[in-house]
Amino acid sequence: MEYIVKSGDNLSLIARANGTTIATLMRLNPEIEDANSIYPQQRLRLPDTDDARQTREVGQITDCSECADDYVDLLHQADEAVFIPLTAEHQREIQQEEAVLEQLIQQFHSEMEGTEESIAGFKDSFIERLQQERVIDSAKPTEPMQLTEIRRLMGNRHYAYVRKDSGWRRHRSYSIESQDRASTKGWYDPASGRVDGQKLIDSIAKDMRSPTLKAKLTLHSSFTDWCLLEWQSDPTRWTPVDGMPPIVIGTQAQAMRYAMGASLNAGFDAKKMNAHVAAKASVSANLIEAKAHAESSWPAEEDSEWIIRYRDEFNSLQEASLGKFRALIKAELTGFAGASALLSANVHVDMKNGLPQLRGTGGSSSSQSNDGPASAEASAFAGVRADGKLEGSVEWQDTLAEPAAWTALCTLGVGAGAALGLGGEAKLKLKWSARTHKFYFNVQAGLVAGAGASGELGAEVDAGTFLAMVKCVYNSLLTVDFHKVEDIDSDAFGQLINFAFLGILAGATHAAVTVRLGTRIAERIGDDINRIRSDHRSALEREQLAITTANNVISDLARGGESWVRYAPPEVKGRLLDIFCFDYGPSFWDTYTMGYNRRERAVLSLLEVSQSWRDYEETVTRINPAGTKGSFAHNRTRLRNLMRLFPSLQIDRIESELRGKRAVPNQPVQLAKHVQLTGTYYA
Amino acid sequence: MRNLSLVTILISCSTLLNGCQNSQPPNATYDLPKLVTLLTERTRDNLAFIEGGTFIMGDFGAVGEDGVWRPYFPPTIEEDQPHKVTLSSYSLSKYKTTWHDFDTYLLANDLPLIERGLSKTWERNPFEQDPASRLFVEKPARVTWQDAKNYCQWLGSLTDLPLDLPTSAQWEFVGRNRGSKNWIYSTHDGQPLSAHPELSERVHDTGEYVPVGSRLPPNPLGIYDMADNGMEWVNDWFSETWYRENPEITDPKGPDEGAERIVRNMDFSFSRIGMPESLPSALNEEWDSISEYTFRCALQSPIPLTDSDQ
Repeated sequence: MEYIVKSGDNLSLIARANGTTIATLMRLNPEIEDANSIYPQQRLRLPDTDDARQTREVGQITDCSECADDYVDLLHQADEAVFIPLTAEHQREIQQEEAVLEQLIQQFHSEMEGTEESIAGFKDSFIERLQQERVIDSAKPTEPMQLTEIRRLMGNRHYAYVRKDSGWRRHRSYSIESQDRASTKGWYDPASGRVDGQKLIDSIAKDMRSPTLKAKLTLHSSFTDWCLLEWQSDPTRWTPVDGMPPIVIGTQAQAMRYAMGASLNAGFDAKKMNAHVAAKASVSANLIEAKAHAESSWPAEEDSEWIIRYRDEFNSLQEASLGKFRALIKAELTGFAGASALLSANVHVDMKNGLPQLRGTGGSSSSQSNDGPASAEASAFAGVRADGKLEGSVEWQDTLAEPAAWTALCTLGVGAGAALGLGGEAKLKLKWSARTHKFYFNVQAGLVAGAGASGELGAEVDAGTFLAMVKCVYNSLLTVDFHKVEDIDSDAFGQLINFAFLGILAGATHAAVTVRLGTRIAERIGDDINRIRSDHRSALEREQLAITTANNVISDLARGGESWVRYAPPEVKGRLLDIFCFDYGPSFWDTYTMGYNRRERAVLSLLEVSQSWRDYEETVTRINPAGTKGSFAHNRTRLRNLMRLFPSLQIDRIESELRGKRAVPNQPVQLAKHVQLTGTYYA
Repeated sequence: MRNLSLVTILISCSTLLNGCQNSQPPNATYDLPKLVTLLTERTRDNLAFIEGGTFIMGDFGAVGEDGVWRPYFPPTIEEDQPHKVTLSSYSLSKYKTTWHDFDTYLLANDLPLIERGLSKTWERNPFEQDPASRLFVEKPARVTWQDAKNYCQWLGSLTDLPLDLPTSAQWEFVGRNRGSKNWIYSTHDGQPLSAHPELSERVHDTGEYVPVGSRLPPNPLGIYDMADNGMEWVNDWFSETWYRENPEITDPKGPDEGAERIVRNMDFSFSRIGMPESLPSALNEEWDSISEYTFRCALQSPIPLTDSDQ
């Protein structure tokens, strides 16, 4: 098979698209000197596809250039599951290379016995050395180690490393199709996992139809794991205390020969109300990647509340519960020895007053471990090249939905590691960024206080769950003074209103609107909303806007849980009412019905869904184009005068039902009693 | 009251239809030469001299307790790597250009006084007196980048001074009190508004646009409205990479060409984005949402204006 390189291609992409690896492509195309430099129109040989292979004999040589060599050894390359027969010359080459690398590895081991300070001092020069030896390629940060794991079947060394770009890759290879097929040849016994060396050689020689492969192999029993490229532990679930969701932990190590184990532990202190998740990957030996991951949601459902702070009418700080809330934390730690040495990371999730506080703590000083010849710890966050990754999401439970389910409001992860490494206590705040045109739940560490060095952890709101966020925020506003919520910055609040308003004006479902989130259009929504109002200049046009908007509100409310209006803060509802109330004349006239016309119906429906007297009062107070505070009495009179007698009496009814009613967050919101609003009902 | 006949409705309707269109002839009622003189005087008086200097522009970040430097706003650090900038001295208008200023310019140049909606534009009256209107004379004028540029250059030719829009670097230098790293926000003290509940409440209560210089205290350089009252045009073309390619530069003017102009006065003192002339509207993609922002002019001269110049 052949592939013609297109502009924009790179070997990695081509390899992935064709289900193969860069190393295979390099081997099949020895003219490629540098994996990073291929050019358009270049012809590349690709490995045979599975379909093509089935028509051939198992184990057929994939690049048979000359088959008459004398082979003295077999090389097994682990990550590609191929055998490569070696001539005496190649064997010597590889032995030399192994020796060089072995020396490096031993040097690494012995330095790892030292103190943290000496390791730090050693690291820089060692990395430099690795670069000289082409073990590390600084141009490929995602692929730090330019090594591949091999096993030569001759001799006593079973696992060794060679550079990816050494000469061996140009030799022909013998693919191990699968254990099943191999077992038909009799050299692999799946039951015991053992390989019969002589049978393997015979099998290869036969397939090559050139029986010059003469080798006596000493197969070590540990060779049985030859196909084990990646090892993953079964996830372990651990419930620290009754009622708390279990912490799921797992570890994973690649090329596990030298990764003596990645460990992870988690603790929970019921008295102090904090959970402690520590992940430690003690990569004890060399040049291996290891991963450890942990997953924990916090806090537990029973006592999870988001405390929202606000100032009351006397300007003193009050707290109100926002509802059920939790943060899901996923920690994944990747590290490779040689550069960052070893890594460990601790993530504290601390609960105070129901507000999760995330705190990263750096690694402790180096310590000895029994896992391997040497072990030390370095902070994943402070580590030079450790790729500690911490992900999480802020989740909120919609108490209106049945059954109650957790919704991820936004995902932590934007620079999470960076911010958490700072070590300051953090608090959560909703922000709107004009720069990225997105909402963020910000974990602010010291930034507000301005004390010391600090950072900010952005948690980007997922567009798909935007409405959930609106609901969440609204839920938090039910009992508090709408103007003084300290956990939402004013830009974010303004933008929330704009989106809700847009959703109704455009008659769009939240999904259609949120698709546009994240684009620059988001920044201009406020302008657009003002302009659409002024676009409707004549009385007739305004009338049409009012009627269209009324229709949109009615159909929006019919959407139930997906409704914008239902979760809209008073600022939105006030502005909508202002649109309905455009009074060029003394009455609503769109349809001269006996009962209600559409605008009257929309006004009443909108007021019906007031969550509390407070909500209602704020809404009526804000009947003006900007949704700012005005006079309640004046606006109420304006509203009543615009409606005919019968519908306007309904306002009194709504008021009497709402009076004294306080919405209670954290419980299904009690909506005002629904009244069927049809023309005939009151006629 | 509530039961009107169709006739009444039609009459009131047509009255209002006409009412919307009675515009008075603009030039007749205004003493233009005097307005222009007042404008140039005001412009000179409002210029604050800014002594140049060297600073780290962009998300300068901070070093954490662990000794590692990190940006304040990781999501966009790639676009806004901190970079060293040296600025010559210049002067910057303490206030944003108001509608009063801008309408004077339009009248003096016999340019159309229009208001822009989404799907249409229409004529308007100059010097709007209704404080609730977005065109209220004391509020900052929100115009296209080209209009802002033309305005500053017109004032420049009128006064024979090198007036122009400030560059992005000049804006940030002032917004951060001469490039201070204590000014993470471009407020009067570098703290976020939320650190001052009474101010943040005032901003929340009074809406997005207010008469210039009326809401937040000026910064130590005497410049108003650097942290609220609308995003602001500056002179530069926007480029994600230009500062990466020019990590150390004196009096940067940005790339020579581009498709978007930089807008400042956003989340942080170092925040900036590019905005094209227009975008499809969120309400209807067939409509153009023309980008209009506030602006102020700068005196592109290292020598301060003195009384003798006037």
